[in-house]
Amino acid sequence: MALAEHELAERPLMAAWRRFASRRVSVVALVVLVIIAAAVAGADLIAPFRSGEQHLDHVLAPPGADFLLGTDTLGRDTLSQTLYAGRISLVIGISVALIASLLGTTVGVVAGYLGGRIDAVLMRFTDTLLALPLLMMIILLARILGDSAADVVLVLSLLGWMALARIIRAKTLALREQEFVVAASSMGASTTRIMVRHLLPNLVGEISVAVSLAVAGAILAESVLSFLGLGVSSAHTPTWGNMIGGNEGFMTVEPWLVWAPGLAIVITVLAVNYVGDGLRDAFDVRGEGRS
Amino acid sequence: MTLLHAQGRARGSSRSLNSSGTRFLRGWRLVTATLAVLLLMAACGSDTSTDEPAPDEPASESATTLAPDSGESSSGGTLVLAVEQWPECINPVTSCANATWTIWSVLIHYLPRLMELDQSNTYVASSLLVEEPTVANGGLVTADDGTFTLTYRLNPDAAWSDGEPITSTDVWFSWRAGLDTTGTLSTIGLDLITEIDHSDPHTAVITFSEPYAPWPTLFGGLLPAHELGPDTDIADKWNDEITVSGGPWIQEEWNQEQHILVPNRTYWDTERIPQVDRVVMVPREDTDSELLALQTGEAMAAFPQPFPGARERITGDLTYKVAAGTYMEGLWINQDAPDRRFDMTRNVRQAVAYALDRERIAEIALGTITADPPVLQCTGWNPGFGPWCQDDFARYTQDAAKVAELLEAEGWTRPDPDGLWKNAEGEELVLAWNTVAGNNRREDVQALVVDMTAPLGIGWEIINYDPGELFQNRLPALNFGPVALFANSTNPDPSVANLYDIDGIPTEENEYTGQNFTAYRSQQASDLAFAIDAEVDPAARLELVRELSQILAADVPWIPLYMLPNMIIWDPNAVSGPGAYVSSPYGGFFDMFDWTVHVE
Amino acid sequence: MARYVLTRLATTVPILLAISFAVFWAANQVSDPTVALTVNPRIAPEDITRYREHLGLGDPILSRYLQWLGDFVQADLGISLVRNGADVWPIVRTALVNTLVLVSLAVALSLVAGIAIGAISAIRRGSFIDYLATTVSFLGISIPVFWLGLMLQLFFGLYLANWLGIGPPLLPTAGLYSPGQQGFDLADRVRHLVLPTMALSLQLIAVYSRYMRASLLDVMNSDHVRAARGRGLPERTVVVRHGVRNALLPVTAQAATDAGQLVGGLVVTELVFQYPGMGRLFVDALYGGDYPVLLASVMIVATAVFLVNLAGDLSYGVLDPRIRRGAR
Repeated sequence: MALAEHELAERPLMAAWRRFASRRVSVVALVVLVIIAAAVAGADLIAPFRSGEQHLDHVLAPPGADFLLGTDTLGRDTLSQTLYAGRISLVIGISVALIASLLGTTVGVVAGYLGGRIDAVLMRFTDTLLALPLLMMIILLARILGDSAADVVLVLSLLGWMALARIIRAKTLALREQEFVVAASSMGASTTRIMVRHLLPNLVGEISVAVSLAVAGAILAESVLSFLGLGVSSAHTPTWGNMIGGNEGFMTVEPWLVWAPGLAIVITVLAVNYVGDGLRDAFDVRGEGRS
Repeated sequence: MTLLHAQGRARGSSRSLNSSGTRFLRGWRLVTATLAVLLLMAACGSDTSTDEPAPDEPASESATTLAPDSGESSSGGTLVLAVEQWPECINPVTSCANATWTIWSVLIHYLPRLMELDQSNTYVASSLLVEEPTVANGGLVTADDGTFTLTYRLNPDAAWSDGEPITSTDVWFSWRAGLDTTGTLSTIGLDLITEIDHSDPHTAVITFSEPYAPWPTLFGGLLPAHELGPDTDIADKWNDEITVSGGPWIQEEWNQEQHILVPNRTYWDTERIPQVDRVVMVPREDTDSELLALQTGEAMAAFPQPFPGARERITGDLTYKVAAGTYMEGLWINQDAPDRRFDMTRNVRQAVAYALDRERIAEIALGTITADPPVLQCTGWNPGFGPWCQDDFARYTQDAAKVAELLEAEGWTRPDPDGLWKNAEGEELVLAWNTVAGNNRREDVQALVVDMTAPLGIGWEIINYDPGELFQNRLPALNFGPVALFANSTNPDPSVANLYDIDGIPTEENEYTGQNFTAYRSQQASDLAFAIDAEVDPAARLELVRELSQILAADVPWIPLYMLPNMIIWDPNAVSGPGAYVSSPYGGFFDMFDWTVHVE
Repeated sequence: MARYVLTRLATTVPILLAISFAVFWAANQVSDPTVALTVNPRIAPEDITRYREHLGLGDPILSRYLQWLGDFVQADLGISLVRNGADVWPIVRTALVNTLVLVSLAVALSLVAGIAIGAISAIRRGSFIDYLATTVSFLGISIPVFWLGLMLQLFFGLYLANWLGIGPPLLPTAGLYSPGQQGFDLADRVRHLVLPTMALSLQLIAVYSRYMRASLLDVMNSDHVRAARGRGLPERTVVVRHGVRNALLPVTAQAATDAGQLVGGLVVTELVFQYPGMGRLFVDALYGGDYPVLLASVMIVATAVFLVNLAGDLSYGVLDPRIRRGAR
């Protein structure tokens, strides 16, 4: 039985990968993402300078041999800062996506599988949150919480799981009626076991699409919060968002300060969206996830 | 951007909230408009005094030599100004008046003053007075019973825009309105007045219960009794409309989208009758928007909070002028910090002061705004206001030997010569340091100082807060620091009693009232600060200020860094005249009656 | 259907109330209108205490909330804390009208453009045009709205005028109308709406065109379209009459359920362009500690979003009876 389950999950995955691999643009996007991730993860190796290293005699230097993308108001190398900032921005994006997906999946599976009153309560709650002006809620919550990366992750995760919960629930409702679930249930498998061993593997497609879109959404949301002055404080660590927020005024005179993190955001988010789109096709996930 | 330097994340600078560059907001409206009330109560110099041109010169030529005149200057035309912070309401007595921009964009142009600040920020008699009250002319009398009498002689020509004369009854009414209005903003000084004799319409005799040296700061915005009275509670009046003017302008329209002013052709101070036909102020609530409006020609001048990169960014057709403003920024040291792991003794405070290269700090904080920004060398006085700022703090320059000497004297050691100082209990010399989150200038200063003092064995733990949290919850309860970086306002009057009042240290016992935010306990300094307020003779006052300044420099209750600059930007192809009042507490638009626009 | 609406209401109202309390609490945590006074040396501590009492800020938070709630259910939005006792409703009403104008324009434009682009993409699936439309719409959802807004301001306000060598900017970069404008001038208002509408629309067009593309592809594969083709109708008629028409409703309904997302772009757009709508009012009130205005703006926007959402869900329900049972 265990083997059969395993195969059930395995074969679609392989098929999905083949379908994904056949879409050139998604593959390119994935490669771009891997490169970006490797670059920011390996910032210690490839960045010309340490994170936050000040060159007070080269304040606001233009791009040149010493500083490929120029320097900021404290003489910090823009290229190095962009790489180090990318770490935090990506970590924020991925953390939010994982936490929100965990929340959304849990709610969706529980509601969909258990049904009845639990389903009704959970879904009404989900729908209501979904129907709120989310950015307003995010701004409010961000005002209350602090300015560390963890605070931003918390804010975005708490308000980012609802769309997935709905999608997962719908799929779970369908799966619940399928033979292998009914069979497992009749053989006395516990509810938890059914959810984890039987339902989850069949939700991989939906979850992976949602995770990818959530990464994109979280990176964008972080930049918007920084724009509003509510994001991660640059006193703690640079992020792409607070690099833009902090240097926005230099857009016309020292454009590299803003364009470097700005393009980093756009390219990353674009790549993530293409990968998500590829995943959607690959897993044949219906409906547009909200990003 | 708002003004509030004291707070921080103003939207100011960039669209990001911070003043320095972040976009918007965190504090933007919160701003501490410290000056605001002051301004209202303050006064400024009339043109009849010192530096003004001879009366026969045309007023339009007076203050404006800064801009290259590129076009034909002539009377008439519409002046369009971008305003950084738009007041929510404009009632002159209530909290509406706490926003500095309520004064700058509205009240200062309509309400007459008794004493007025001139271009050098010195109090002189305004054109509403026949002469300045002095001890010599009997205007200032301290009686044997301790009461103090101030006599103003009013100019009989002075009249409101509806033709009613401005009289001593208006002075009396303004006093009562300040006290009686529901939600009045400040009663400081007014509550010491026991009586105003207004039996003679041209003489106001004001009796104080005790000598009150900052008397010129009172009555900076006189109210028309005939229009607003007889009820002295004016909370419901003039919230969105100033119906009668005693200044150069008359209000045509004020709402949340624009403010239109037209000349008061009947103004008795004929030199200040405006040159242009109309002024339109529009909100552009962050510096990027303001600058953009100037660059696109949508506005002709702006008085923004200084923003980083100004020197580079103001290019092309625009010109600008920077001068020291009214906010002093420094490291405020809280001796009662609840989380301190060791006491902020005098030696530790001095050591921190000797660990800083304040020139470098000023350069990084303000260097992209103004060349060679000066370091502030006194603790509580504005070098731009009168003779009060003594340079006693100049002794503190970066000096590793002094740091070591001061710390070793109190048992600190540095076992690892590259590490941090440690005291006898093994606590490292690490200071928790707060400022307003998201304010780029301040966060730059923090990053700079962290690197700067590391070689000297002093470390920092940076914990920044939202302006609301810092200024509303933590500062008033002394629950910060021990070190905080923020700006506090300065007055044209040298009163500093609020800063150093030994009974003004917020504690649980006094329910956290008081503004001695450094918990500086010096009876001597406190007594001197109060003596300064009670001394009406300027020369004697200066001696007291000197004495206090030396004590403060030795005690280092806080470390002054620099004055935040003010700046005014304008398009010389469109307007001539801005710049004369750039460092005035009245705001850079004060003298727009002298400006001309170039009509094509 | 009525029961569905009632259920939605029954669950939403308590949650909206809970949110109103959360907003109230949050507003009181993070800012209050007396903050600015505390560091003003010209204001004595007694003055601040008196002022706080005047505003009722000294009362316990719960009793103030209940007071607010009591007034609110009677349609009394209270008075602003920072505008010296001005009623909240006129302030909110002005902002609401401005926002509705902007949003209606942007949504109408985006629906038309999004549907057209999505339909072409679907019909020419796999073509260069489809590829281009997909790329552009992905770009649209990958660019932060504030970034786009800033670019539009710089481009239309500054660079374009400079390149063309013309004096005044092609389009105004901020505000509701021209400085000094008195009275209503339609052309002037429209000019000021162009850039904010563009900033708000790009993302919407991207999203709507994706919806339309997916929806139309769905419909074209459906049985009745196949049947129509089978009847020998011209392809053009099949696409327009059976395809596009049937694909429209799901797109519109989906757009309605996205109303909450729209508000995000709206807040940012209004800030960038200094447009005096609900988003800016919300942010101003938040930073100013003006909780009556803050609550009013949140509650009104939330209610509006809820209603639009409900309308979207109901139209799904009309379309597909299964939805009513909740099996989306």
